[in-house]
Amino acid sequence: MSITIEHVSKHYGELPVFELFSLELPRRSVTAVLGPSGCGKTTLLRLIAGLVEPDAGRVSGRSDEAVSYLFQEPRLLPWLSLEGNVSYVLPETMDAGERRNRAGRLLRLVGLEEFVHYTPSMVSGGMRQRAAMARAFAFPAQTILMDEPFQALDIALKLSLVGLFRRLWEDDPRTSVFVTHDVQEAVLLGDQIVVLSPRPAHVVQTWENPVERKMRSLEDATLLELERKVYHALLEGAS
Amino acid sequence: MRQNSPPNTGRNVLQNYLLYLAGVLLVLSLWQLASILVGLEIILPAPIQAAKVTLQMAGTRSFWESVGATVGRGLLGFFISLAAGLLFGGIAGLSRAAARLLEPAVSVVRSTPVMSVILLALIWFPVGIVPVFVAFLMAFPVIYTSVAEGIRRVDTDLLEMSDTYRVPRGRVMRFLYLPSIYPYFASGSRSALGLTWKVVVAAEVLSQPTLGIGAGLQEARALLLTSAVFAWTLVAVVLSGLSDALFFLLTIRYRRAVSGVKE
Repeated sequence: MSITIEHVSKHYGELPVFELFSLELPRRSVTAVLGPSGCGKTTLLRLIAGLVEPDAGRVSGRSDEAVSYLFQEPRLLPWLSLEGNVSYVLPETMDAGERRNRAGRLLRLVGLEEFVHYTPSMVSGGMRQRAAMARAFAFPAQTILMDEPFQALDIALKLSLVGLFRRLWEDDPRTSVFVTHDVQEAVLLGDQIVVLSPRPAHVVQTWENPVERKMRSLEDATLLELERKVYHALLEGAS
Repeated sequence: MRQNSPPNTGRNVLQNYLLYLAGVLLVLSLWQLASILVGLEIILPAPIQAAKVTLQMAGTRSFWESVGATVGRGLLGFFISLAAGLLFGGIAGLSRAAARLLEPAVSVVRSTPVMSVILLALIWFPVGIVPVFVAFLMAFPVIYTSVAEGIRRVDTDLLEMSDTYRVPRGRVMRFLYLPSIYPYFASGSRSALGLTWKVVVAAEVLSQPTLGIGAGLQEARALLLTSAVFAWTLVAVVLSGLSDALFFLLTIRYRRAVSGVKE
């Protein structure tokens, strides 16, 4: 089942963030959401996560209560090992051994098998974000929400993490929403690309990514064309 | 936590140690010099004289009973403060309303002169309880504040992350709250413990229990045994230093574990 946002309104005090906002997030596909700063992208994620309630309208279709969430920062507990950090979020239905195994497996998948016992301060920023990604995929939720998780990284690191996300996702596809400012990231990861207007946000335009997931690369002419259209819509929406 | 000092290499440790020793020698030389200038043992005895009297006293049974009595009162006061500080500080840290409700009471206690507390306690309580009560009243606000502050400083980003992943409450308590509060709690308790010895001795001076460092001080003063006043003072300083070192050693393991920082 896809996640459906229907006629949602949300105000912060006098400030309208959403006014009868609707969007559909197809099941097991990645929706990339772009829009000007402050248009409510993070609020959108929080609405989907159930962390804030809409004033009106409804969000439906989320199959479980909890979601996986990749934040802008890694948000790891500084005193726990990377493994401890991943197993920290795993549900109580798993026993301690199961949690440790699952944490170890995901950390291996993101290439951190040698660092499972290190604390976050002992590894690099890129490695911390990879650990956060391992945490998101270790957590058994059908939905993954991402709030500009590659924002603070340099281009090489960013591309390697985008690639890593794609591999993890292919292995274990989940309904994903990916908020970003970066058009390149959006067309590389998004199966559906959505551009929002300034506040109160509405959908300016939506595209289906015409390129197969595995074929998407920075040089692909079709993607470059899509990138251009997205830029255009962003600029137009902002004016 | 000493983040700006250079790393603790072997040479640095030795150097710091030597500097510390030089500082001690400096204090002792100034003291010696002053006592020569004054020239009257009854006003300012020489360090060697004070040390001699201390050693003499240490040979008696009543000396150790006095130290034991002071330590007992101090620890009792300290642990009561610790329990109350954790409880009320915890409540105040978690609830803004509770913090506001408790604030006037804690402020009054915090800013009341220690002498007023001692004098009132003398009116209200039997002699033996006075130092314990005073220690509690002085140490409690320090621990209370540090615990409340520690809870308020818990990283909201990490709390939000735990919320998003619906991490069970017990786990959030154990792995997020406790380690976050710990440094505040440890440093607050450490200052509170140092404060405890000072106010217990002061309370003993005024309440005059049969045994106690403060009682010894008062008796020595009354008899104009200035060397003995110095000797008891020395004992109080050593007691405070020892308890501080012990406290540090007891907490260092956990501190390392939670902060990942080597001290």
